[in-house]
Amino acid sequence: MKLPSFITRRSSAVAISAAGVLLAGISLEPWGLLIPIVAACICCGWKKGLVMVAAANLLAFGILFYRDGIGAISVTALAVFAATGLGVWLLVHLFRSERFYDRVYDATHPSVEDIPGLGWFAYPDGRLRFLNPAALTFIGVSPEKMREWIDTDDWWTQFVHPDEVDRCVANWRHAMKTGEPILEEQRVRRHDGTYRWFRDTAVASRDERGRITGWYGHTQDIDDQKRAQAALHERERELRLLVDTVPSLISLLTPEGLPYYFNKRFVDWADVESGDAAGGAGRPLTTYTALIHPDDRAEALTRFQESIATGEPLSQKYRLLGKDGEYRWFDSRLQPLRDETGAIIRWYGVNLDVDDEVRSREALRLADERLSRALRAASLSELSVSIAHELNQPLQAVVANAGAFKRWLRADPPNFENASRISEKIIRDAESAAQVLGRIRALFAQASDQRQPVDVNAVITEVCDLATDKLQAANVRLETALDPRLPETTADHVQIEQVVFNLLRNSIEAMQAVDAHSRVLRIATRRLRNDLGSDRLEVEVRDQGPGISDPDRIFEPFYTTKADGMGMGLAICRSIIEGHGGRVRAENVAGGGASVAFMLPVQAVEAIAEDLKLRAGQ
Amino acid sequence: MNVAAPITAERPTERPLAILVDDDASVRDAIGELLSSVGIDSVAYASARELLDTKLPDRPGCIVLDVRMPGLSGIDLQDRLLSSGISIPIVFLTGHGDIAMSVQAMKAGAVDFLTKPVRDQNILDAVSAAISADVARRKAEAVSRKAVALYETLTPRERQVLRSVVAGFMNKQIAFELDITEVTVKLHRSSMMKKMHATSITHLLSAWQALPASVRTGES
Repeated sequence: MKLPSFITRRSSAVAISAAGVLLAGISLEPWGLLIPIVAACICCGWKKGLVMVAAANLLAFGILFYRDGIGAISVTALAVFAATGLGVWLLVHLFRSERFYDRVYDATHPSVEDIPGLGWFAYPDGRLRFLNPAALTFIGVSPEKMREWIDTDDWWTQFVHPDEVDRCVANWRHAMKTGEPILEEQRVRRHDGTYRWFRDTAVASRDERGRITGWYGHTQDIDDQKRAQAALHERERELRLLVDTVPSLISLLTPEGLPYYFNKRFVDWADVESGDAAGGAGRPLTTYTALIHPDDRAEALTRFQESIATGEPLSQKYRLLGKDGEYRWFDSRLQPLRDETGAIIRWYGVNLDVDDEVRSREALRLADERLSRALRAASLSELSVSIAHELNQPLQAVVANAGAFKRWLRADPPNFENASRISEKIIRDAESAAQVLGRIRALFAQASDQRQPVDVNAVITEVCDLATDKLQAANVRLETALDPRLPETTADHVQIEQVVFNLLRNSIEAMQAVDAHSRVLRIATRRLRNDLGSDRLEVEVRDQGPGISDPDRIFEPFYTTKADGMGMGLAICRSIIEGHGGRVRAENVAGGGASVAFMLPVQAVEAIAEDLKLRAGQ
Repeated sequence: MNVAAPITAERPTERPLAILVDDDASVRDAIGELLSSVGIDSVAYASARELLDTKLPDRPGCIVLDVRMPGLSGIDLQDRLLSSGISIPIVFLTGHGDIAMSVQAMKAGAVDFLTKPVRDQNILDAVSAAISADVARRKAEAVSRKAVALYETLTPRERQVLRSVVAGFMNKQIAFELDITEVTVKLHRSSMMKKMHATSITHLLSAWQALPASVRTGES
């Protein structure tokens, strides 16, 4: 990077030299060549001056050769010219060196030399005049080397970090042009090749008429400061990045609970104004609380205000409104920051999105509930199958062992040893059968009935919901005629559900034998009252199947018409209904199909008993 | 089967073995006792997997299999055995009679399908029937193996002659069909009879019957 003064100096030197050479050529007199030597020595430095001396000697020889011919060249004249050229060069060189040493060693500029740090002094056009010893030591340059740079103004560019050279040169040019002081920071290369940050301050020194007489500069090492600043900045940036990218909504609140900062996620998700934009000014809390779902707001606010008042950390869950108009569940935590005296200086708020979790847990709970209901409803026949299996195993063992026992005794001669060993096994197997029965009894005892007011219509609707799949798969159309004025009865909800489900299933299975379009299942409820004070409700399930071959036996245990049935379902139904003080009945319908119904007293059995007792007392 | 002297099963009298598979130890044990009281050996496995992991002994016998078992069910085990070419008879025991299941099992070659609790005599009957079926099967297999071994010693020409002889052709007709002289046919025929260990046409026919159908019809 060349500076303008440098270029003008070079070009003026070239112009003067060219004029001198031209003059010498025209007049055929070598003395004119002294002019380029002087010009080169002054404008381009003494090394280039020496080159120019040699060049001038050659040219002078050429001129003499052309003028006098080879034979008549005056050796003396040539020698005199050469000596004169060298003399001029030496003179200029000596003159300049003397001035330099004056400056350095005669302390003509104590102010520059003695300033702490790196100091320099330049001509008004920017050429270097002087570098203080500290500066020379820092960049690792000898005074001799510096003398070579005197009068050049681009020497320093090689010490400035390449990234900053352009900016520095531009600043320097601007200062040259306007006379404004320079204040800039740049990295400067040390003698060992490492760069350090420096702050450069330079002012123009002016004479009484305001003309610039030179530039004084001071360069201060600010590297440590700069690094610390950069590290600090980086940490701050990282922290901000962390706060903005962490997958939760973060807010800062004043000790009074007014939010004054929201992180980027919060801003993006809820479309609230970031605290930064508002200049940190607290805005009314309502802007934030307005985001809370109306159902959760009152409780959330109460707990929030409580927390602000007492200074206790807060943890609660509520739904927040996103800018897409959807509410999501958040786990909200609030934690105070206290100063050394214990006074709260701010609150940190974090809202963690737990929507998926909350929803899946909810879904799981619902599914679980449905499953357990379905299991309860389906369990009657499955339960009987598994009871049978459980009992079969020990019974089978008893039978087989007894067979072996008999054979060992009948053998000739009888093997009493084997027989007695096997008799032990028979006892053991029989005991295990008894244990199975005990376990089943315990199972039923666990599920002892819990009586509560039951809306039978609701139970039927629920069971029909549950059986939708079954109905569709079996191609059965369901008709319900539920009496809307049906009173509640006191019963075990689950058991009544089981009975209804069982009747429904039996009817569906019974209709598999008939045409698909006539498969209609009808469930009706009604209230039956008579003058004798009897008040009952009836549930009737009617199908269009082939009917019941023996309606009187159908509720007996182990009576079944199904190929793989146990004959337990209706028997259990009957025991449940009778346990509730009701009755079951089954009959064939005139138009084909079967009707199975159960009746329950509207008043609970216990209530009737109470009633009877009261009457007896009267 | 009344097989002539030269072709017989190699080990005609071996003690049969019943293989019991049931997840219930008391049932396994009790059926084992029952079988031992009538002199039938038995080994017991707690699961289908356990049975598949052991090498079945080379003895006539049957498998008494519980249908309902955790892991591989009895029906699954039957499938596995069939697909790996083991045709040992199976007697199924089941806790709860399932018609579809028993039909499937019987179709796949089960000897019997008994519903628990099953009477001791019924088990013994089913097991004995299965064992005698297996003995017969093994005998037939042995005869067939022997016949195949003999058949494989024949030259292609002798095989052609054999085929024609059992089809009832006279030497002359065979000579005409194969386009060779009657003397050559007689030579082939006597060497073939020797190789098949047959002293008469009746012997030769029974050996031919013992050959698997694929051998009898497979070649041209």
